[in-house]
Amino acid sequence: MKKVININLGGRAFIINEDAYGALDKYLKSIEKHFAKSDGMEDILYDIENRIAELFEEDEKNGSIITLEKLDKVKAVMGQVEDFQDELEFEEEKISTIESEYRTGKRLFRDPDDSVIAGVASGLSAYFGIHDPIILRILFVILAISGIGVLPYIILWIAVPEAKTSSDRLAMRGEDININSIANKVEEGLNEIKDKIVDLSKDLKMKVL
Amino acid sequence: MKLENTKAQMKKGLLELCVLSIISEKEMYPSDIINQLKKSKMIVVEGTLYPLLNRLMKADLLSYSWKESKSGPPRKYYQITDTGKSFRDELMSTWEDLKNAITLSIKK
Repeated sequence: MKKVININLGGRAFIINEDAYGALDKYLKSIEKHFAKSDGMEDILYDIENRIAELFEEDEKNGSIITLEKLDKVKAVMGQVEDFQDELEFEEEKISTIESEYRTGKRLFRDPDDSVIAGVASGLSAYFGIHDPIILRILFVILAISGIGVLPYIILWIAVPEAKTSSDRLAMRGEDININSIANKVEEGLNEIKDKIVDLSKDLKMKVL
Repeated sequence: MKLENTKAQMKKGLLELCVLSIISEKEMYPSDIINQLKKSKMIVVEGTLYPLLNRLMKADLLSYSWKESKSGPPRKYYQITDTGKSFRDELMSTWEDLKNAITLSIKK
């Protein structure tokens, strides 16, 4: 003895075995999940449900109740969800998600690599796209002399975080954070260390000589 | 390298042309499109057609309208748009060029 369920599929009424109902539900959900990202999901799902209903109708001569065997027949005609992949659409979507995932906004940091006191001026320069931080440094000096004092600088020193990691430095300049740009930054850092070592060894040689 | 994958890729590129050509004869119900494509062995599983129809529709190459049916609920009929017609003609001439090019390339 088996329990049956009444369903409405594509506007038609069917009687389906409970186990077949579970399997059909799973199948339709997997299709829904597959197309969840495309904005035509409802249309696609409608067409597919409609077609499945038609196939069941055509098969009604073999008994009016939908069994697992009947469902398997329909699934073989429709294909598994992996076969539904519409290559072109997938490619387009993949590209757009990659672009949106890694685009990050510019953030204000203090730049410890290019600092006179705390890197406030160079951090602000990077944020506002001013090429040389000297302009802001002079401005801070003028502020300090003109009676406003050093308070604005101190406040910025406290409030603005220091750029500590490679991704902080990229965000400071508003560059996109991705594997390539981080790799570039790391490479730059390594080159700096290499240069320092070369300089150091030159110094040592000079001293020995 | 799987032979089946390569075969499927080759077919997929030309499926758009087939669907547009089939629909350009007259407005069509998805199941009729399926039957034609199956007859010519252009598709193996039906599931592939629906995302394609949707994509063509989003690109304004196809549109659809509802029609009453003698049995069951109203049916969705797809028809080709003017943009779709010129798109099909472009694809058709590309296909002709490609056919000649391939015949020349693989001639022994």
